[in-house]
Amino acid sequence: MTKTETAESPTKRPQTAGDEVPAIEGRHLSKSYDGPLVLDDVSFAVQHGEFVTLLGPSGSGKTTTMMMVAGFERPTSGDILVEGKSVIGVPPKRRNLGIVFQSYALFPHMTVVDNVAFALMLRGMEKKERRRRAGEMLERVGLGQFADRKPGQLSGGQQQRVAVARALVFDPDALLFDEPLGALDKRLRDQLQVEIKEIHQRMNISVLYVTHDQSEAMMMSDRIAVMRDGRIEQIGSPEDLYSHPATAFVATFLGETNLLPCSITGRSGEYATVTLEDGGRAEAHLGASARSHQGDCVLSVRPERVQIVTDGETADCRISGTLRDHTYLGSMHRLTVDALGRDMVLTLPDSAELPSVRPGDQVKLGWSRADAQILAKEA
Amino acid sequence: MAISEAAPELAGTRPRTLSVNWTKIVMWVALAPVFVYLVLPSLIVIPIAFTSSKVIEWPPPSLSLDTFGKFFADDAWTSAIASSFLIALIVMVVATIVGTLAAIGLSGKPFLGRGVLVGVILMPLAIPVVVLGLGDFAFLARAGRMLNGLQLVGTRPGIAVAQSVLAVPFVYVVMSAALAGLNPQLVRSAQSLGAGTWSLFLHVYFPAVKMGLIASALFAFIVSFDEPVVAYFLQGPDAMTLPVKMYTDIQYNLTPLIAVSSTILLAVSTTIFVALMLFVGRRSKAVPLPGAAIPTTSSSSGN
Amino acid sequence: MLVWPLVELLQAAIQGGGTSFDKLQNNPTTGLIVKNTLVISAWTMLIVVVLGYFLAFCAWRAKGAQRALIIAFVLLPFWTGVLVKNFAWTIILQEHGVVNTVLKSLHIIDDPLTLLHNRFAVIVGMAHYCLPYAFFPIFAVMIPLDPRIERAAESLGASRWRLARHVIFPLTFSGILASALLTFIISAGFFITPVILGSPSDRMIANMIDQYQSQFVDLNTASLLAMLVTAAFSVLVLLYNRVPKEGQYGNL
Ligand SMILES: Nc1ncnc2c1ncn2[C@@H]1O[C@H](COP(=O)(O)OP(=O)(O)OP(=O)(O)O)[C@@H](O)[C@H]1O
Ligand SMILES: [Mg+2]
Repeated sequence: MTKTETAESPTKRPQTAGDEVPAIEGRHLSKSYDGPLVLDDVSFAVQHGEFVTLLGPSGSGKTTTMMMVAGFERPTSGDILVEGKSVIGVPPKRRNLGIVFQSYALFPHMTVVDNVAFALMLRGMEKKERRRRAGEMLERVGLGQFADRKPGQLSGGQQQRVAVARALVFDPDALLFDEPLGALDKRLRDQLQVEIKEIHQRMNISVLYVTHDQSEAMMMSDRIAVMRDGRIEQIGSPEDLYSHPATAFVATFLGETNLLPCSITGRSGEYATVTLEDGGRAEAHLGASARSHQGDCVLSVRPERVQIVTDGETADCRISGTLRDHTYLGSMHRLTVDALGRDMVLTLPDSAELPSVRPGDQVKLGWSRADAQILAKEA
Repeated sequence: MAISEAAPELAGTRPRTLSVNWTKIVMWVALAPVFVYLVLPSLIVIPIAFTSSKVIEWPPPSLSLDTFGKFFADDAWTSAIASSFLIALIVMVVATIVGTLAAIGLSGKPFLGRGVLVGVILMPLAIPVVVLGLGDFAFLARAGRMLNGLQLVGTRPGIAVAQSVLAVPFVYVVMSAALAGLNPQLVRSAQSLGAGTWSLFLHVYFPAVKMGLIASALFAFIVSFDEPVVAYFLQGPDAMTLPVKMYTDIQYNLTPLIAVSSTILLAVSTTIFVALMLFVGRRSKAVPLPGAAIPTTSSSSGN
Repeated sequence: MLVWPLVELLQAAIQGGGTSFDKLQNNPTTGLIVKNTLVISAWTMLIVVVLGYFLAFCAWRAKGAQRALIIAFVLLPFWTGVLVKNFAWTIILQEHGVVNTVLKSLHIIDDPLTLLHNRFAVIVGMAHYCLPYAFFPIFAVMIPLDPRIERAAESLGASRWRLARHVIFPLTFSGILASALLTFIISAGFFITPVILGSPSDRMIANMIDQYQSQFVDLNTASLLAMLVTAAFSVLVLLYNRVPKEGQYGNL
């Protein structure tokens, strides 16, 4: 799990203080462009200094949500609050939010330093002073020596940093990023993720970030809102989302998981008993979507939580199957087991002692009841 | 943990906002008079062509086909129609062939003097048509004298040859773009499959530039059909095109017959425009819409 | 067939030589005609660049079908023959024409306005002809611009005016320049429109060439004038070719 420690860093204000006014809040936002709803009752909040990511597949409404916060789109219904005050009807230029667009949207006719100084010029700052401040900001993002170039003469990653500097320089109340790294290659993306995260920590600024890359979201965010078809499926910390997904969609969208069809036979508090397809019984944690769900369910178990158990060992749940494939991936081993008529995947760290099984052998798989989530089955 | 935990229940906070996009409305309202300005001259001639009056009146007192009847009974006008179509057909053939050959010859690897050749081909776009008209007149008069008194000025072939020069640059631009859009991989793969020169042409080149050829031909036709200046300088008793006849009649003999002629010109260019849009614009991305390609490519002196 | 006619003119111009030059110089209308050409072309250029810019901007902001609609309207004059357009303008602008009839029936005017056979009519007709040529060079530099730069500027605090002044205008300036030069070049060569829509005192340089050729039957002087015009045009065309056109910021 790649959770950063920043959420607990002492410089942060507590992220769930109930009575504190959030930096940005969306309440029951809906939007339609003369047609079906593209956003349906979306609510979220970004606390001061918090890094919140909207994560979802293409077309799920991330940009629409972001553009509403920025003031470029008007919600069909619902409210947006910045520092506790509704900003519906307030034009973008008076919202004081720094925005980094996916394609950077730098002004191609201005030099890098003029791009960064633009917002200061609009605020009536004197030329020398604004160049000095823009220069400082460029130094901070490591582009001091490129001040007098045109954006077209910079690489994608450098342009991206200029866009960040430009959005930061006027001391905005919060930063909004719309897929800022989408156009960059993997290596550069990883590097800039770290840089953006560092800027966020150093400046203690509130961030609303949009991406469709789950590992990027996991790596950077204090909290993630998973979106799908214009709705928020779940909001929570990366750990929460990963270990307690609310829906089967969240479970599959964040990381890899095994889904086993099942039906609930008895409930007791946080846990419930289910019957698997082979008639076997298992106990598992009740996920949010299965709490009041009566129909078919699935059992979700992460590959690294599944173990190969020997006859002597005990496990809360166990099923048997045939080992089909074994792949070595450097940091781990990946095993595919044919169980209950489907492929179960499990991963073992490289350091783990490998059980002596070969493809074709019968194996027993087991996991603890806390590692399995019962979720409503989705079509 | 619940689905969307950060949404505390807030009673009655669902303000409905009617999203009216004022910028858009203002934009379209401002565009409307400009659109009228652009459209009006193309439409206004049609009702006049169907007037029952002997003079041009607005609005036409009543509609009838009399004017059309008179138009087609008038030898001067019918001869002008014949001239216009005949000349435009010749221009279409000549300009398409010459322009396409030029595009093929000048495509591919750059060579010394290529820039000059391209410049010469495109030159008619950069020179006032009056100058070309006068030049064509002087040139054809001399050429006629040198060819044992062959009459070139004032004849249909004379006008056709001179107008072809005007149409070649358009053909060249369209065909160059079509050829540039031809995927060289396609040629190589066809060759590797054993295609000879002939089947290469038939199965690779021709399909790729077919739309370009059609567009070029239509375009060359319309360049000639609507062209008044060169045709004016080279006109003769049997070689007066519709635009030239209209030019004279508007000045000295203003009757609704001119509206009939206008309607015919309009019908022809509309047909060609629609054909280009539907036929070429849709199907082939390699062929730029001629209307859009030319103005940005070079200048053209009109009238 | 491309070059020879010009050589022919050059030869005739040289043949006429000094005599032709004196004729032009002593012709009292030469000054007026040159002035007409410059003034009418300048007005036309100004009007179409403003209208063309407006249309291009609207087309750039609009998407899909709406953009296609705007472009279709702009292309319309392009596909209407010159004579059709000129004839149409005489119907629209004449004493009992469309405009006067409409204004009278709305009781805005009592007596018809004189709209035809004057400079106003010439400029209206020429601007109509030139509008597509003004539109496309501007539209071409706008197309590659990321519409998000507008949003970026707004998010940084720019008002509409600041956005236009500091972002949109500088980014499209080369398009404006190209459009202005192109329409000026086209306007200055007009031949038909000044005769049909203008008064005898609105004739332009192309008409003077025609006058020497067909009225005075003086090919040498007509040729000299044609050569002088061509030389002047070449300068403008060279300038036009030097203006950076579409794609100068295309990599962003
Ligand atoms: N201007 C618009 N008019 C009509 N529909 C729109 C408009 N903008 C967005 N949509 C629709 O709204 C839905 C959400 O779009 P949005 O751009 O917010 O998705 P996204 O999550 O940002 O996707 P991506 O990852 O592809 O950027 C999509 O179905 C899209 O087609
Ligand atoms: Mg998006």
